[in-house]
Amino acid sequence: MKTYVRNFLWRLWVPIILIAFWQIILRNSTNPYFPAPSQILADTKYVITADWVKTSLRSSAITFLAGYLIGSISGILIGAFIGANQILREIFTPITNFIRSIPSVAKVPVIMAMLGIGQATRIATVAIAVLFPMLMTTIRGIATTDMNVLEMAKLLRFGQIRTLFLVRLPAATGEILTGLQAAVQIGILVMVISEMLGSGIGLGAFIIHSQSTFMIADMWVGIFILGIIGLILNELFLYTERRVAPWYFSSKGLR
Amino acid sequence: MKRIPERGFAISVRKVSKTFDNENQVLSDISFEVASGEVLAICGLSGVGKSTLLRIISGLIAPTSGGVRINKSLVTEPSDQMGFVTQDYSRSLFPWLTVGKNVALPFKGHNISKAERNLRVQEALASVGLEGKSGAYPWQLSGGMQQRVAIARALIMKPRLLILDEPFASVDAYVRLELEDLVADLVEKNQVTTIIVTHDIDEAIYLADRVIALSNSPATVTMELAIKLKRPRVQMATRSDPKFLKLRDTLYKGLRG
Repeated sequence: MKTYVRNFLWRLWVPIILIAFWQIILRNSTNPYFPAPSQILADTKYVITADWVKTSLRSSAITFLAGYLIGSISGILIGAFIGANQILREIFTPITNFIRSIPSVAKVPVIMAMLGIGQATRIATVAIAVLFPMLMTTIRGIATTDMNVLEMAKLLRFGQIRTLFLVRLPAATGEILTGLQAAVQIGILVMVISEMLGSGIGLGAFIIHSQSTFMIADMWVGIFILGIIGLILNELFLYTERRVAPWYFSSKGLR
Repeated sequence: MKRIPERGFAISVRKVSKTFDNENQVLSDISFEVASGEVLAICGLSGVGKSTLLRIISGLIAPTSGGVRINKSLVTEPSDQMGFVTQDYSRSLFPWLTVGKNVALPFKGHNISKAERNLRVQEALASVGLEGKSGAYPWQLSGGMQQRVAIARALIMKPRLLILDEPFASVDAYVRLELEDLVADLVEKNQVTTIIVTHDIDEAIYLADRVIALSNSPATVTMELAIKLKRPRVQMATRSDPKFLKLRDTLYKGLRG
């Protein structure tokens, strides 16, 4: 963990230089649309109040985490069953490709029209957005299990369920992790969109509200916080995946 | 040492042919018997269909015609009395499981207490010289050690039939000799009927009581050779025995067709 934090901080020097440049160029900016980082930072303490944390940050956190968990777990489970069965795979591939091809952003209004607005809807929106990359990667991982590995399962007299959960699913770890990582970004994106579209709470709502009331520095604060959250979530992901499936990285000689 | 014949399975391969996709005939009219407790080597050049034949015997695929009987009953699926070792240990051992859990895989679906399972895993690992490696992952071990793990797994259920598909083709020459002796020793101790497929003439003669040569395309049995070298066999001594050299010469000619 210690070396992990150190490596993470070490990688921060490029963004720090970029922000320094921004500060130097815009240090005396009076243009309200392009505040200097120092102005945004000064504004931060007015924005981040207990009330704000409670309404915006907490709501966004719940939306993202619940949506991500529901979407990824169901994606892995449904994907596993579809991937293991050729007929199901042939039936569902065109449908999943069709729905997947519709940008997640475009699906949000549809889901809102069906479920209304509220926390549950936002969670459902994120879950559905996360579901599709998870379905695709899991189906692919399960469908491409090494024939030799499957033969071994047959020789061990494993039935279909045992083969799926004890052999094919762990063998698809690489694809599933790829899907889970991509789903982090998609989840944040859809979380923000669902909050922007008329919910009134959450980080996305805060950003759109600040922008429409000309609180441009506030808007920038919101955007920065989103960026930081994305960064932290991605790092957290990289940190966790090596603890959940250490064998995967070590057996492939990755660190 | 004389084997006790009752424990192992007797195998009868009757007129087995296999054609893939209705046109690509790999095996043609193959028949042979394996007595209980016997070690049979199937020897043939690469690509002759040895592995296909093993897959049929083990019940993984069905023959196009003919059939295999193990103790008089027709093979339709892999038997739970059969241990199997393949060439490619990196794919037959699961990298997400420790060595101990890999060896314990055949217990899945059997009602065996955790204590007994652990005990038998320890025994099996000890029998292949891997005491204390239970908690390691397969990819942390050398190729030879991984193949030892695969052998331990194949024998943990005390099978009556052991099938080895080019088991030593992926390890280096010295380890190969060690593993040959390990397998010969374990086969003797377990009194298990054994079928080993190899393209190595010397290995076939060194391990087997009888060698079958497969050649031509589609493959047929071109030679059956009884190996009457005394046991236990010793690597360098046995291999330089004039009888060994003569068998070697005969088998080589048999494989050439």
